[in-house]
Amino acid sequence: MIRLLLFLLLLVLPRIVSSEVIVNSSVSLDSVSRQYLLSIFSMQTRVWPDGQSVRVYILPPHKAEHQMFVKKELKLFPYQLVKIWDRSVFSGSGQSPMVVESFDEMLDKVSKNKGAIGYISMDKGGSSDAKTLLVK
Amino acid sequence: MLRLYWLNRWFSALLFSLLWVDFVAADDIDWEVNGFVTQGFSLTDDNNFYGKSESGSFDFRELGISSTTRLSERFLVSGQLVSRRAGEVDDGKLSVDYALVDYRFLEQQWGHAGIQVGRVKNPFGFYNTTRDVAFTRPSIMLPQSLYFDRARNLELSSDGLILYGTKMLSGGRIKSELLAGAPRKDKNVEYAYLNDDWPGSFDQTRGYLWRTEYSLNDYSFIGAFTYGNFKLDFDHPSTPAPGAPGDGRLDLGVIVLSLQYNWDKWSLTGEYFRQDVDWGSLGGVFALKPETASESFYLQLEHRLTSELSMFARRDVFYIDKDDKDGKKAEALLGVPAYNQYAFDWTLGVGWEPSSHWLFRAEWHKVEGTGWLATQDNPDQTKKKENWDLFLLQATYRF
Repeated sequence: MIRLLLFLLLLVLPRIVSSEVIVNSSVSLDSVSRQYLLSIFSMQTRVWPDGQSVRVYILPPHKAEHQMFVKKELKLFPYQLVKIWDRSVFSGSGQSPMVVESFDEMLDKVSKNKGAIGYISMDKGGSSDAKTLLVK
Repeated sequence: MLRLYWLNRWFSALLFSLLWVDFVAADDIDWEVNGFVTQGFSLTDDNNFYGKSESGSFDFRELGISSTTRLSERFLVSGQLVSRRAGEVDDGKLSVDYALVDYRFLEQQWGHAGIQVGRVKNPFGFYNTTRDVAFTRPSIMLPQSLYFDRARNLELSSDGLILYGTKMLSGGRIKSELLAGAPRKDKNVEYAYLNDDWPGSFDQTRGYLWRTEYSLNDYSFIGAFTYGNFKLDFDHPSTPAPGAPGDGRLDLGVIVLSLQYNWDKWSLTGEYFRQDVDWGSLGGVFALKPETASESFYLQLEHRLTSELSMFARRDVFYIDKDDKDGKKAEALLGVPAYNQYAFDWTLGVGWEPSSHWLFRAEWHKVEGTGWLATQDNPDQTKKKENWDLFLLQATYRF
């Protein structure tokens, strides 16, 4: 019985916690290093290798889904990401990420905007204009 | 003076046109406007800080508005206007904090590089580039031994350029910035380095700063090194009175070592700063001791109790002359109180961030010495007290 429960739990858990990185289909990369991903989400990288602008979308920074993404995928404490954004925005060296309210809006924005990057929960359906970016 | 005026006009015009471009042309993701308002309160038992604090002072206010626009994939234009009111040190006049064009000429997965031209922020230590933005500070007032509030303009920004680059390494990254330009100056710089507002003024400045930072992938460790030199030409209108500075040059050499460790709930930060001052060519009283080296350092422990609530403790130490730590030589030579030559500050503080827009802070300083106390707020040298307490409150809103 316990084994069955554990099995069921394992089946359900990843769906709750995991998110995946998505990019607009115009982005030529299919996989990136975690380091490069962090450079993108911390707004330090401005241009994709193919020359188009990087446009970063995030959920509101205080939301659990965002904090989970930062910890699991970027391997960073969320407070540090905010600190990096603030330092570059208020010294004139960079811009803030675009904040969206839900995964649905995230998928919509990333699908519609060239060079866009964001993240959605694993169980979200895909879109023909957005693709998953593999993190190595 | 006239040149300065036009420079200021030029920057204002640039900033204005930049905002104008924003409103007219850009779509919703290529530009942004940010701003902040900070109001402070200071109370001291002796000595004045941020206004007449002995009777409680609300004379501390910071206002800022900034805009950043992406003109193309590689071009960024940004500017910030700041008004700061702080006792007799800052009168709240609007000034251009930065106004720059940033061009990213190299962009690869292994790193990037670019150049900023215009009025750029001085890369110095951990906190200097955003020192007036309360949300980016660990406390109401930054450790005064390194981030002098009484000679801010020199530390704030420069008219010139910055070359910058970041290179990814296997376990972290290295980021380097090189600034060359003319640091801003005003009469506060005179107070800070020449201890008074003398006849004449600093008319030309130039200098460079080189800052290199290494951080681990997860930023759990950040180490930075800053090295630089500023030269300020002092111009006296006629023959100086006995003791007063004449035509000459103030030469400042700076070295900063910055270290920070970050955990989920804790951060430990320390910085060491050494400043070599050469004012021998100014003559007057400055010829009595033509060269001096100051030494500063602090150690700070921050604790994040929850995502909203944090506290910190800090020890901050400042020696105006590292070869005269107890100030006795200066007392004998110049007749100034020995405790003017150092400052030891114990600080305890709390911060509450109920939302991403609001931040409230309170902190208490127990200070020995008046080394970084502003002469402007304490004109009568004899009324300065060696041991004093400072209590600060601050509220900040940002958008």
